[in-house]
Amino acid sequence: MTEESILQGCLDNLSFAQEELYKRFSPKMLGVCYRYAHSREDAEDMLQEGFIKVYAQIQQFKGSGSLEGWIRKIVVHTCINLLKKNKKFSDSVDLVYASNIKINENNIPSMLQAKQVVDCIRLLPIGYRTVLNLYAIEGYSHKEISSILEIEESTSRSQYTRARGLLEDILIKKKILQKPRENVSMVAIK
Amino acid sequence: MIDRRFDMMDFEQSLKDHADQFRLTPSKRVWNGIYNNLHPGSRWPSMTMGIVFILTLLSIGYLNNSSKKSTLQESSVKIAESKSGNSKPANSINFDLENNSSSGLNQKSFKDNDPKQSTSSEKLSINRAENEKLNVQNHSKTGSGWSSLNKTNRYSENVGLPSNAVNNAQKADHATDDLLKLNPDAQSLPSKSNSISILPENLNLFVKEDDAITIKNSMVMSENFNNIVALVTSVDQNPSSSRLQLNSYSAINTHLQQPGKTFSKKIHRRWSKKIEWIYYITPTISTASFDGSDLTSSPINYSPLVVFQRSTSNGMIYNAKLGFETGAKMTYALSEKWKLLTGFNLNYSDYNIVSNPIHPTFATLTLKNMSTGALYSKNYITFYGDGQSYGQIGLTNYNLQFSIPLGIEYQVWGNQKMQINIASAVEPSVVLQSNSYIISSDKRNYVQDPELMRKMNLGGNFGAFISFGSNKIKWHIGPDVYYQLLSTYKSEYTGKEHLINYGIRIGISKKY
Repeated sequence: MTEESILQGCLDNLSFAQEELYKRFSPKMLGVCYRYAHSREDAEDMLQEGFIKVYAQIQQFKGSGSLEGWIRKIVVHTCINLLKKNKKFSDSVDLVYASNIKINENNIPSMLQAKQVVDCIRLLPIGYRTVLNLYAIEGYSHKEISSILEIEESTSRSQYTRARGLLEDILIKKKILQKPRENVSMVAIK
Repeated sequence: MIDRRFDMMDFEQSLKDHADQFRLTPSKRVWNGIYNNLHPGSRWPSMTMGIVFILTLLSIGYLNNSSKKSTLQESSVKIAESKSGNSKPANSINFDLENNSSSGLNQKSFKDNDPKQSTSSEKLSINRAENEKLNVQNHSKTGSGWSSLNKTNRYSENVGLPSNAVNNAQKADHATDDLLKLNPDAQSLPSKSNSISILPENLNLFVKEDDAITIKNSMVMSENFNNIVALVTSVDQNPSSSRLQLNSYSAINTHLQQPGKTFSKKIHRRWSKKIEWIYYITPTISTASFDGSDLTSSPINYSPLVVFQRSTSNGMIYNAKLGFETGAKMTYALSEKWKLLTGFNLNYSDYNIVSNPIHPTFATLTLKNMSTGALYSKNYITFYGDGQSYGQIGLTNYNLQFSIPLGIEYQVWGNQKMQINIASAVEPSVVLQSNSYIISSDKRNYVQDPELMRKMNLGGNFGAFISFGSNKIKWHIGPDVYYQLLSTYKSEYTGKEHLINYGIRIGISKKY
């Protein structure tokens, strides 16, 4: 089925079209939710909530961008809203604690690289993780993030910087990321 | 999956690339949750089932409680009976319902057998004559004579009744046409071992044992037992000023003074013994027959609720699904073996048609003009193919019917504890809700047309069940088959569909 016929079917509230849309985008969207969520179950709840919103607002999709991008935007906002609602987000945005977090390498599962990267992201405190997800992966600006998360723009910047540093450490430890050349050379000079 | 390594030089892009390639397959519950949210109509049969189940439980609970209440009151009567047998109460009233010339009715006598009482001349009689006057007459040894009272607004003045009691008495007075004689002379009444005392503290009835049992039973059986009781709290022992104080006066006359009512209660009891209500639920496997086509198995299985899947010779592939029947069945015993049955029944049947989504296309149904008999075609736009192509989906045809079964039940074998019965009934029904995808005339598409659905139908039901349990509560379990005698569709549509349900009926009943 083409994207247009799926869209038309969804607008007509036809179950097979809705299911087709779900089948097409749900695996990727669950991957998105998984990066924000505490657990797989939470991620599925987010996905369910997100898709219900998608179907409810499908008539608002004007076709200016990609359908996937539009769905993703709704799903991401749903994830953030659910995190806020469950107060899981506000529990762990504390930068002081976050900077002292030690990563237990045993917690990093050895799997395929995309999953490894996602699992490394999920090792970050939820505050860091959310800012990192929104900035680096979803492409939101710090101003937009500050608005979405209701935090200061500077907080968003500093959280992202620390999140990135922490993630780099994790990725290097997991040997997914090579050390920067400057550092390597610095090590060599020493 | 990913060949290139994570690039530190473009951290964000690299992170995005990797994260975007990550996919997870959601579990089925996610789609089920979404689907239920998007199509709440498909959820309501289960909700209905739940509501019916709760209502059934509440009904059973209510019946059990009312039974306990009656038992409790019966036991209180028994306690009072034993008390009156041992000690004579201070104030006793003799209800003497002999034939009264003024009323002209043949009434049952509740006269005491005791010669002392029968010779007692001290009787307080409340006589309601046709001229709507109430006379309270008191014959006393001291020769105070009968005190006569006008009914209208004079209770409290002449008899010393509280105003609310007067109102109650006036109301009740309208309902009685008989004579009630009350004997206020407590001291002249003997202690009787065969008398029954109702309400030990306030009122004692001395009647013949046989009659008393009748009264007691009729009272116990009554729903308004609490209202039956008349509390005569005080009967002045001084005959010259015979004074009644009624705390609560209501339907005592209807039960004690009107033998017709007692008789009707007896009839009611007799009916109650013959009537049995069975509340049941039947999980069923719902399927259908199409034009009497032979069915052949198909290996394709689409839905998790599918029980089996078949294809018809006309090209339809469909799955049987789970449905249910629930309701209440009332049986009336014609004889030891035969019973009439009726009640009400809610039947939900559904099955899945295997289809496949297609681009919107025209489909045609050939219909019959019922007045002329001529065939004509009607076009529809459809999105559903015949399920023979790639990307199969399930279309649910469902039918919710309310019916009143009328049938007969026969006890094949049984003793007091267990019986085996067979039952058969026809079920005229009203279709409350339905949805049906109809195969097009060229058998290539499915279309929807609610106008073709029949609103009234007729079904046949046959079942065998085993009944067991105590005298009060009985369980009824057994196989049950339902066949819809008329087609789901109106006669305009040339195709015929008959729903068939197979299930196990689980019922519970309470005997009165």
